[in-house]
Amino acid sequence: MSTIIGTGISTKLDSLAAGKEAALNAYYNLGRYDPDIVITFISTIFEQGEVIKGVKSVIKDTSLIGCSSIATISTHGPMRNSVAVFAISSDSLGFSCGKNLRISQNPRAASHKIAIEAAKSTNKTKNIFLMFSDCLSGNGTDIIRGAQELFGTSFPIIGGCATDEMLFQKTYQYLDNNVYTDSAVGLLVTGDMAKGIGSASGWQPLGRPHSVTRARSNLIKEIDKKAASEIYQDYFEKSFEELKKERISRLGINYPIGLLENKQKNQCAVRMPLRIEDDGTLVLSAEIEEGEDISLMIGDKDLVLDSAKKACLEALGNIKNKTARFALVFSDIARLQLLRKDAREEIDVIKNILGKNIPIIGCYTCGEYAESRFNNHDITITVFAE
Amino acid sequence: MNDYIAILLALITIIIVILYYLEKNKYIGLEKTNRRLQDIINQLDSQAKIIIKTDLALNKVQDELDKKITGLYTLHEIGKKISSTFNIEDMFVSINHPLVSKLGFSKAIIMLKDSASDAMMTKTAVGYSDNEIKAIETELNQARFHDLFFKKGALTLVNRGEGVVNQEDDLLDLFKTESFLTTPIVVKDDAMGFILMGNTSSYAKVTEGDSELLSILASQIGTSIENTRLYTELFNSHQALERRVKERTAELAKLNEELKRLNKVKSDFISAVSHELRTPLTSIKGYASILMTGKLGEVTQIQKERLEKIDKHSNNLTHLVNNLLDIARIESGRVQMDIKEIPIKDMLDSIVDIITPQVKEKEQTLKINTRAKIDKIKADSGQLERVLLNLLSNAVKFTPNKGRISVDIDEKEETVQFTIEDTGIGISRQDLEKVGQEFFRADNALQQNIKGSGLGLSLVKKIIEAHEGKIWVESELGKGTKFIFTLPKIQKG
Repeated sequence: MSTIIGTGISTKLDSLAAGKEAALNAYYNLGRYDPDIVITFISTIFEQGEVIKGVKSVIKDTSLIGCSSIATISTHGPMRNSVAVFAISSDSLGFSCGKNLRISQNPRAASHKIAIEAAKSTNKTKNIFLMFSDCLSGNGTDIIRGAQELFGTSFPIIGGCATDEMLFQKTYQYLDNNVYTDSAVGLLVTGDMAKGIGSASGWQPLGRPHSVTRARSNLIKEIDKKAASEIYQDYFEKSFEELKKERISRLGINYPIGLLENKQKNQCAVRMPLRIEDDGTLVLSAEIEEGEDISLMIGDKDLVLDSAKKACLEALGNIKNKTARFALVFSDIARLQLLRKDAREEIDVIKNILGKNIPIIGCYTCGEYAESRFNNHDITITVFAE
Repeated sequence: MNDYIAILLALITIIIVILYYLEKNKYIGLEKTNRRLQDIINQLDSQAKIIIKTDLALNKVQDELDKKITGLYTLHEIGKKISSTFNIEDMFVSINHPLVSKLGFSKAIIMLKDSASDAMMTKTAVGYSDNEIKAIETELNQARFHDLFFKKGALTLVNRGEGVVNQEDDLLDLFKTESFLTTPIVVKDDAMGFILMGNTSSYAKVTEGDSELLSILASQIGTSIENTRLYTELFNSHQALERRVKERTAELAKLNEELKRLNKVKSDFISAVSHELRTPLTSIKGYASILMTGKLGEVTQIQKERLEKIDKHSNNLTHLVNNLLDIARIESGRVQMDIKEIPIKDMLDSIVDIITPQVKEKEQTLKINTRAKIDKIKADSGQLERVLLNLLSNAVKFTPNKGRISVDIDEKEETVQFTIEDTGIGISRQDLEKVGQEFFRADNALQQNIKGSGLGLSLVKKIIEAHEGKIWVESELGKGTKFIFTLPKIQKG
């Protein structure tokens, strides 16, 4: 049997019914096998608790993990305003979960605890750690670091940050019957199944480089010895008040900050501004170092679609000659915002490379965990193979 | 030596001066390059600003377009739901959290006037607790905001801090929103209530673009309320009609039962009377026969003639009574048909044998045409012979001398059809309907003094119906008559 994925999607405008429908479809697609774990992604247009109740009424005691997302990703492509339920049945993989609340207080310690909780119930070979956290709760680098303290810096950590309908107000994380916010949940996958990870963003620098002259953790105090917010004030020709009123994260989706020297695979690391403090400090989604050269970034449809291809080929290259069985795909909401109706093409690119019938489990996130790093505006593809 | 030193110093000085000038020129060049580079960078930044400006404008248009497409698609979905129900409460249930969120709002409320009290009642609310709904109802029923909500056909858009007047500001607080849009729900030109949708976030304010969606939704709800009202009226009148039909059907059924009862009383009466008549008739016939034999004394010729008349009329009366008894028995189901397969040809031959003397006497022609492929029929042979004999006797009786009589047998789908046709006196149109009624005799038959009891055809009809067959008559006065009856075919296998 190995590993079988049952996929169920619902767009019913009734929270409880949508949860039930998606879960029933996932169960139906799983055939005669019982699920070992259920991963679910739910749009925030739904009443979260009601959807989970609907899903649980079908899957009963099976563990459930997931997060809210603006759109789900499956073999059927991206789907906004939907509920996606992925039921996994496997005789080669094991699953154990962990969670922690109020992660904004100490993201690093929180994710460390999640990792410990997920790992304590198993002594099997650890394969990969899948994590979903609140995108509004701060430093993504710290979150990944906390988990790495237990698993080691080379242990693969994937996943991403939960989103709402691009309002950046409230996101949700799920574990079993519960719906949390300002939290993170983690799923430790055990077993020897081979996997390959690939990630890329495709975002490009725009305008001249700037220097971070004062920064700490995920806060940029000054750029070019001026209040950090001035970079956006200058480029967008808006006053500080206007910028605050408009919400910086809405601008940051399309125009994030790129770290010019922090390059991986020839691409700048990308950070998204979450908010502006009253003194003009920019609060970013992850860490940045003082003295670093940065630039405003911009996306281009073709480059972004090309980056999906690159990420997929990289993941495929990492499984060597093994056969792909299923894939986890987390694409940044910025890509959805840029590609809009063409977002389907991004998933088609992956399907064309992996094969049309390879099950895809995923959603749109606001910041992605890929291997040992956190980045924004990426697509990360993890291919499991045998 | 000093000259050499002087020349050397002079040379060094010249070289230094040359080098100084060269260095100075190089520095000026670098400064120029730097300035040019700085200009290029500044130009790059200016271009970046233009790109951002254009990109932002495009994104804004695209956002609005996407929102409108999603909104219209959602309205289409909700429209299908709303129009598929004729229950107002069900319709409001479908305006729920997912739908409101999909339209891009975080709060929504629909209130309608209560027809009895005229008070505003909440039909559905998204994003409000029960206490908040109560507070809104209390506040709105003080009629303070009446004009704002019931301005016919008017949409009201309120955004906090954008020139709102006090009353609107109060409403923003009452509905716990940063911006809202409201429009009346109009049913048949009357504002019956209103729909309000809004957002709690100052970052996601309601825009003019949303007003179109809300208008469409309000109009859909108004139409649906009207349709539901019409449907309810129609449904109620249909129910009333159905009730009346039921009552009338029950009355008719009762009358039918009464008719059946009366018919039975009639049959029982005829049966009883016939029985009572038969006994004295038998005595009359018996005594007449004894008298005719002369055993009780010599009988004169005149007495003999009178006795023969008594015997003849007694026979006629017995025949009449027997017919009456048979009709009563068949009607009451007391006669069981002895259904068997009968060869059609044998039966017809036997009938022809019986009727031929009468036919010959009137110099008539009788033709039998059998076109049916089947040769047998399921029937009570005695009763069927009685039917054919009756119909043929009538044909002979009512057809003048040298007239034509024919019997045709055809197959018609699941039946075998017998047609007895004559070129006789025919039956008038007004009498046709009455043919088969007990004791009915057509006017022309009476005028021509053709004898009969008016029971023969009635008996024929009863026998055919007892065989699950049908009988009818076609006739034209003075030209002839056609009696047609069908009997079910024998089912194969």
